[in-house]
Amino acid sequence: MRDLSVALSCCVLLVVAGGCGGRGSDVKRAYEEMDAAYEKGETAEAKVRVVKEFLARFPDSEFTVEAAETAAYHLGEELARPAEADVLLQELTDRVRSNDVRRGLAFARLPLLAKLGRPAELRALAARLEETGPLSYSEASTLGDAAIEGGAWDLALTAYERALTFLTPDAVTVEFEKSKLSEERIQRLTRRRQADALAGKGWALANLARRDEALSVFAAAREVDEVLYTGNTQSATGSYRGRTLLAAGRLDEALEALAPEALFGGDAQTRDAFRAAYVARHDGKDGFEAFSWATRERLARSCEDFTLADYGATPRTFSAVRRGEVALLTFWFPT
Amino acid sequence: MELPRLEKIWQKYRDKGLVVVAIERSRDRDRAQKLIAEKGLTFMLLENGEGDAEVVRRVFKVGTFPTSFLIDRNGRVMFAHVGFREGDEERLEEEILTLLHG
Repeated sequence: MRDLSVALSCCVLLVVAGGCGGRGSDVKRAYEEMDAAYEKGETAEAKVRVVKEFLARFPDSEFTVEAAETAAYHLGEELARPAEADVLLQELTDRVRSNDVRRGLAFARLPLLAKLGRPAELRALAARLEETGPLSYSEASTLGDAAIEGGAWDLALTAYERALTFLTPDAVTVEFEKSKLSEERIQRLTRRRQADALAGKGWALANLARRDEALSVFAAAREVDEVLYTGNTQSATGSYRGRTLLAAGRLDEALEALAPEALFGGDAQTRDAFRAAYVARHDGKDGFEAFSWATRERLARSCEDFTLADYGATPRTFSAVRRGEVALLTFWFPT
Repeated sequence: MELPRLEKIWQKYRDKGLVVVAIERSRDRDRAQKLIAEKGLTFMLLENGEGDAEVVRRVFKVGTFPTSFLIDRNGRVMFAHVGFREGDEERLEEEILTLLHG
């Protein structure tokens, strides 16, 4: 869930790059104008406004789902107005004829229903979607994430099990045929998806009181997960595994599992679990700050040096730019 | 779009010993340069050269954009942040302050 914004911007980019023809040229122009205005939008409110204006003009186009997902993300996640987002998606659904677009809109509603605490509707919508066609990887993964957020653990389990059936390099190659990804990218993507789906499956199992199975699924997730420089994993495995160990009272293991995420950038739930494990292990929170800092120092890795050109084609070596100061290094992707 | 927020952070802490470097992942040079000009970015911006960027990506294992790292004065990676949402810059700023004062 944490990289939803990125996933969305990449979707938007792919759609623009993919292009469209025929009667869609007006829509395409309007979409591109909207995209430019969206980028300029300084606040979530402003972004939502331009996307909604576009959707009001062109409710039923090949851009509907992406635009609706974007609006729903800003409304539901950033502005904490999921009810408003859900109404928008329902109204759009009524104005759309294409079954594919209606299906896409239904998937966009799943996380909103979870957030709104309406698990019965979440389950009913998921069942309807299963009836209208088999779930793809991203559909299964969206359903799994929503089911986790809504606490519908059995639904989450079947969704991630479904997602895992797609995760062979062949299946990923077929899906990305048009994007011409390198073999290495496809392997990375496959591993990434496996790690995500295994993490979700394990967390569902842990919450269904099947803790031992959960821990063996997390072990499998760690095999395929990529570990960032800081010890963080790209999937939620570290956090879910640590919270499962905490619930099992295996406190030292929980602290070790939670530390990379809790200390190097994880979410509030992971940080809370780390603190809870420490308090339980040491019978109080005395020394927690010192312990955290010492653990951080122990786990931190040195930054490898590199040289890249700036936009004037001058080669820049990171260590020379940094000159022993504190550095903020960002990898970005223009959308 | 996270870069204007980084620009604000850079303006605020550049005199206190913070260096900001952004590496562009795409191969869409024109779009990147247009954005950089539009947003008036003044910190160090590096371009994706195909071979080098692969090295950087492989070294840092970045698979999601944006991803940010904070590096302390001893050259250790002390914080990673994946994605960017409204409000995230507060956490980032807190961590920067810890490292600047550490």
